[in-house]
Amino acid sequence: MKEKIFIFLVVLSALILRLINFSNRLGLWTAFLSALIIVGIYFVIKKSDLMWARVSAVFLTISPWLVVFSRNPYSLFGRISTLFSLREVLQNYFSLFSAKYLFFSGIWPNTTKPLSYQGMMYLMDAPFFILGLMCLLPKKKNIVEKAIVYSLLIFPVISSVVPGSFLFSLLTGIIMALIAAKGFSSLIEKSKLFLIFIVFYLFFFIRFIDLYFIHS
Amino acid sequence: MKNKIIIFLIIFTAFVLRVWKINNFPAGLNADEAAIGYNAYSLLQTGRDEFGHPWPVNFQSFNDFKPGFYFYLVLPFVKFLGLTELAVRLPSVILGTLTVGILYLFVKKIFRSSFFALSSSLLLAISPWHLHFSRGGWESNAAVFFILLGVYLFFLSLEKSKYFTFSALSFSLSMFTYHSARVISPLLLFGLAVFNWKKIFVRKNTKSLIIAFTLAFLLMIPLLLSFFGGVGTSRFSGVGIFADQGPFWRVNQLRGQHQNPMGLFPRLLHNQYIEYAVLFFYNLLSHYSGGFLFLFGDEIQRNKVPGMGQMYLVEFPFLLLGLYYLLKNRPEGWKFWLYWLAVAPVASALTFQSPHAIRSLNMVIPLVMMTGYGIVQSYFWLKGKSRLYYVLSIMYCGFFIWNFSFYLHQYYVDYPKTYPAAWEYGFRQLVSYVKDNQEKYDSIYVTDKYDQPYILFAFYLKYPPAEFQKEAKLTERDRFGFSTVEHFGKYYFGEINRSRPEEGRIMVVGTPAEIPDSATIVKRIYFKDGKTEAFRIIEQ
Repeated sequence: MKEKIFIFLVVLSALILRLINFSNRLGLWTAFLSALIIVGIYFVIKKSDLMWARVSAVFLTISPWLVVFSRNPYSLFGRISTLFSLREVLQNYFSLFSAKYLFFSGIWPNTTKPLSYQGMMYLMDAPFFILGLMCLLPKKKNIVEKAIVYSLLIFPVISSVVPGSFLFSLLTGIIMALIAAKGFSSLIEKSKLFLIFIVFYLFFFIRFIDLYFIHS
Repeated sequence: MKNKIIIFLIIFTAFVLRVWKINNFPAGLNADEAAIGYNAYSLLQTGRDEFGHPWPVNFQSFNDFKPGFYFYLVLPFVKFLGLTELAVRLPSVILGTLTVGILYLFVKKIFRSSFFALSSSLLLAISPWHLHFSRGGWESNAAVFFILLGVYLFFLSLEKSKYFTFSALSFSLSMFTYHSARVISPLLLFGLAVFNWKKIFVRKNTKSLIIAFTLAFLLMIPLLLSFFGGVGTSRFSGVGIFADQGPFWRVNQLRGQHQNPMGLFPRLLHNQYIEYAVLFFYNLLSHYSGGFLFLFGDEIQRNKVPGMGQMYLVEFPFLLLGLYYLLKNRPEGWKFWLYWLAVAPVASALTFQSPHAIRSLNMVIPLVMMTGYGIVQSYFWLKGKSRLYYVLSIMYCGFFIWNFSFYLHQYYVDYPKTYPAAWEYGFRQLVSYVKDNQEKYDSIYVTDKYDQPYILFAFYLKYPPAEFQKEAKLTERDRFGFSTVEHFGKYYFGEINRSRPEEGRIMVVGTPAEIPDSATIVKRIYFKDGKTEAFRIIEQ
């Protein structure tokens, strides 16, 4: 029963965030698809770790990356440009992991609502992403964890050699959110400090909503 | 024995790479180096710095109050080698080379692996980041030496407590050497104390700890006292994070877009505390970006080699592997290692120019260690797979040699051509010309288009410090907190189009942008590339 309520709340929140003031019909479908993906990921990760699955569902629901792209699905298949040189591939690759892109300004789809001062993730995700890596890397991994680690290696490379398409950077974003969720869930199990971090998360979430719906 | 020979060869290589053609590369002498040299010269001649302060802890210089220990290190070199580029740079070369040796001892001590220690020290010996700042008179490089020595001595002291005193001394000296160390050294000491709490505070260490604390406290007194007056705030107000007005305007802009800008919600969400905190973290994290580390490096031309990042591109996979194995194996001391990597750019992040290669130079130590660790672990992983091991090793060595050769080419050939003005090349030649011809003129006007021309003139002229102290006056601070000297002797520095006396013969030194081709140019001074003009000299 508890689980059903949790899933219901996640789906409801995901849909509200993706559908409020939505402007294109395709966005309606991608909002539902996005909610479905979140639920799917929840059940996959649940086999490995329940707490991680719960935090992942929340993180994916509020992820700026996922929210904005779900609302602007056309941008995911933007003009794909051809490549160029190894240096440019590396430049693309490094920029995917740069602080500017991830936490501070991002590269958002060129829509009528340009989003400023917001990265693809929350600044609060940074320490939890590192903590998540620290949890995932040392131990023997099950299939879910292996898939996540390998995806983190593969998706950014594909995204770097196929510039212009946001699809693989979105997939990278999902993987990074899952790793940050792993870090956060490990903290919940070990320390009561997580309550403070929830307050910070709440602040950055409200800031994102403010920047997206009021300022852009 | 074999290891001793190898480390000797690595240190020898480090020295050769740092000292080779040091007078001519970097091409020129920057204003900070000239200030260090001239102040040391002034102390030797008069017992006072360029503005008449006797034996200061911080040198007023351009009103940026440079920490003084490197000046005192340069002093004997100026005494014996004269006021030359070599005298200013040689202490940095020596300390940079010694850092390589200390890193070997440190890694060997903590991780008990000669292979890891040798690979880390070799990587530091040829590190573009460390080489760049070891080849100039940079206080930052000296501070890194003292920081690493302090860390090494700290770990020694866990076995022999008498080393606590030497560790405290080394950390204190780093704080007398460079601004950033005043933030980084206490942070590292804090980390060392937290991660080794149980080993430090035991009964047998009591006496040594008291001596170390007392020494550190006594040494900090002059440093703390020197913060009173202009020193404490001058540097930070000039280049500190609050000098960046971006967050201030951002807050105004964002609040203004709300219906009630002064309401509680906009004020809670958009305020300077939040925006400056966000900026700080942005600055901090920007030091870990691949673009900075492997592709472009620092934005300031003086701090970078064209086409290079702060590290070799071929190091990237090994840095990742090093991080992976560090988290996987968790060797002894791994927490402190990661902690160092995390806090290394804190001082740099507190300023408005980020990422900044000089202020975050101490980052090079945990980074080369991590790369070295990646190489060592890869070696062990590949060892059982003999054929693959040989093929991959040869390929890697080939790539590394190519990348290293590319760096040397960029540094010695391309750098002076791509960024000819980066190191203020041309002043030596200019002052030499001025010296030979100055008798013909009543006054000499010099452009201020290049940074702090007065100090380069004082340096190359070997202008008598006693006279300089009487004549030179610092201007008001500019918006970055820096001042300059506009006049001493018959030399005037500033805009060359400003009003000049009607009578008397005047030499005017300007840039090609200031003096048109149509003017009667009596002398042209070129940059190192031999084609681009640095100065044009006319008569009035």
